[in-house]
Amino acid sequence: MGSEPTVVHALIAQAAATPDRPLFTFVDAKGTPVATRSVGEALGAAERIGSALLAAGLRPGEAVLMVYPPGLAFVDAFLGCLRAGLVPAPVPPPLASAVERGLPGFASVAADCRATAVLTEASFLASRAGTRVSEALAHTPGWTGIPWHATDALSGEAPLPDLPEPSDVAILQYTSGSTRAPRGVVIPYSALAHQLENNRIELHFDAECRSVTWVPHFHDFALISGILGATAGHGHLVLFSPVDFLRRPALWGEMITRYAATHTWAPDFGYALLTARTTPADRTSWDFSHLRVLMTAAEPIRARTVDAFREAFAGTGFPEEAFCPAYGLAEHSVAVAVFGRQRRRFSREALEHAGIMSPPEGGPTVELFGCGPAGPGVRLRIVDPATRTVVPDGSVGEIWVDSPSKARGYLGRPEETAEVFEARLDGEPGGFLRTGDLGAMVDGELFVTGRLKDVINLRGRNVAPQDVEATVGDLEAFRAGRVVAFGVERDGEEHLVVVAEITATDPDDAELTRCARLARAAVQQEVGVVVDRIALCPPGTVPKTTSGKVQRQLCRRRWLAGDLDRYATVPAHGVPERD
Amino acid sequence: MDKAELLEVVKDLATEVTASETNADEAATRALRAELDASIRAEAPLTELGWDSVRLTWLLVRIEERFDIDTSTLSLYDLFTVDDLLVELKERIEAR
Repeated sequence: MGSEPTVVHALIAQAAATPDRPLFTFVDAKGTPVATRSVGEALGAAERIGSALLAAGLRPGEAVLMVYPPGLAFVDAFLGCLRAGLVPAPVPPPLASAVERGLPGFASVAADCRATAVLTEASFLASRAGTRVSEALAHTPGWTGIPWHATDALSGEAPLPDLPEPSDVAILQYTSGSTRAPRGVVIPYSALAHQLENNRIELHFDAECRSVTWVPHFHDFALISGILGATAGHGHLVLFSPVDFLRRPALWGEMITRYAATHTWAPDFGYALLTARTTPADRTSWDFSHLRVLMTAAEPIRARTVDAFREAFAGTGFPEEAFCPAYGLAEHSVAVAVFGRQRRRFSREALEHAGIMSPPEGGPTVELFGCGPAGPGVRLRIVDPATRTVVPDGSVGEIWVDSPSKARGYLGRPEETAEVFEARLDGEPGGFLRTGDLGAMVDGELFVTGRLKDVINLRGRNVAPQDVEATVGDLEAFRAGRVVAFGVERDGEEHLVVVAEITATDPDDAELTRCARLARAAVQQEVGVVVDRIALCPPGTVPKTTSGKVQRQLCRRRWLAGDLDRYATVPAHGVPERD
Repeated sequence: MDKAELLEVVKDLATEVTASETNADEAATRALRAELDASIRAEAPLTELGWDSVRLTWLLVRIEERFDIDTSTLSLYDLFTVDDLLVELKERIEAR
């Protein structure tokens, strides 16, 4: 971003210098460009929409919800908000079939940030989902009745305010961790400036770069590293829909080739899918030789995925040095560490029992990828969460970070902000962000080993077990407060397991099937994730602490050891398996 | 092909998608199909069947291959119930 104080200043400076340079392109399922914006056009759209939003009655400083399907209408409106001094809070658009799941999130996010409008595009408003959302919201408790605006159909003009100050709030990034209590991460322009400058330096961005991504636009990975990165001068960003990627993963390889991409990024499952669902014939004409960065982040990096990818894509000219394991989180405006170079095996026993990263000693091992050293200006510490002291290199602890990229906190939650964003370490100035992730420093690189909290990572999405547990516990067939959810790894991928006590005594197979079906449907509907296995248990099975909290890790260990007293386990195909 | 026949094909393909994703063996695949027979209703939201956006997308890909139709313009934002899906598919099959 150079010397520009904010990303908005950077866009204006670029538009003055290189107005015709391509900035954003959106391609459809066939790879055909269906929308493009040069730098000048992007600024023009931002000014037009920003002006129209102010003419519609919105005021600088107000928060707005952004609900868009994939496409450049989102990008135009997002930049329009920034230019108008509005604070955008992007959220995923609900599917028509899952509107009920999305509504509490919508309503609570809107209430949390006191949004004064919902922004979307005309086609979404006209869709079944849009119609259902806008109608159903009127009857949703907590909904404040704010207006919807289709930003691609807005007219009207009002004077634009002065450009933002670095200390102004730029965006509210709502964490996906918990649908029941969404937290808005308050990210000021100054944090974005530091983050994007670090990206420029560490990821070798310049104005000639070309990035390709299908990661959803409301995800911080795409929003900050991608859309705002391009806006700050990191070259041309080519986007396409995550649904189109799922339909035909080859589209990703084709776009990397066609645009001679220098940068691309995705969670591990994206690379696994690209490898598994493309053929050598697909790859014959692909050229990955221009890549400077092929980033894998946002979920655990699996050796099997990496090996399969390397083997399958060896003929594309993929430069080995472009492989970029990384670690970040929304609370730190994304990246903490990038460009891991080490791949190491550690003793599983030493890691799991002593929290030590020891070389293998003949027993089971765990293979991990380093995520690189802390970025420029980032203080990274590995801390014993119990004693709040820094642990030696090679020992596992909670990852704490502090830098100008650190977000300001959680909107409207001063106590939680103080606890999470301003944690103190003896002898160190300032406050640290507690990431909730576990890791260790080994030979100068951060290795992420797990999570302090019980968050479950499903296809790159962090799911709070409390959401799943409350959803199942609310059903009449289940015992409230007697449900535990956790993740287990199978075939290199994390799956959701639910252990639940049911109210029925001596249930037959039909009753067990009914219970499992109810739970699956409710979790799908309310939380939006698929339950892999559900163990249906008699009263007293779920372990609790003396203060009445469920003991997830103990329950998980009993599940893995086959040591749970259960009526049956019901796998995804729905047939109860009795012990 | 009427909607009832189409529904049977969709159930077959949905079974294939889920069986493939869960590595179900032959017996489990049969059980899965029986489960769909028991649970599927035209007015049921697709999510009630455990079809999230990923699984639904893969189902549409199988449907494309089976019927040689293009479903890429079929917006997931517009599919609410099983019946919505059948209506959209029927239109596309008849327009081939």
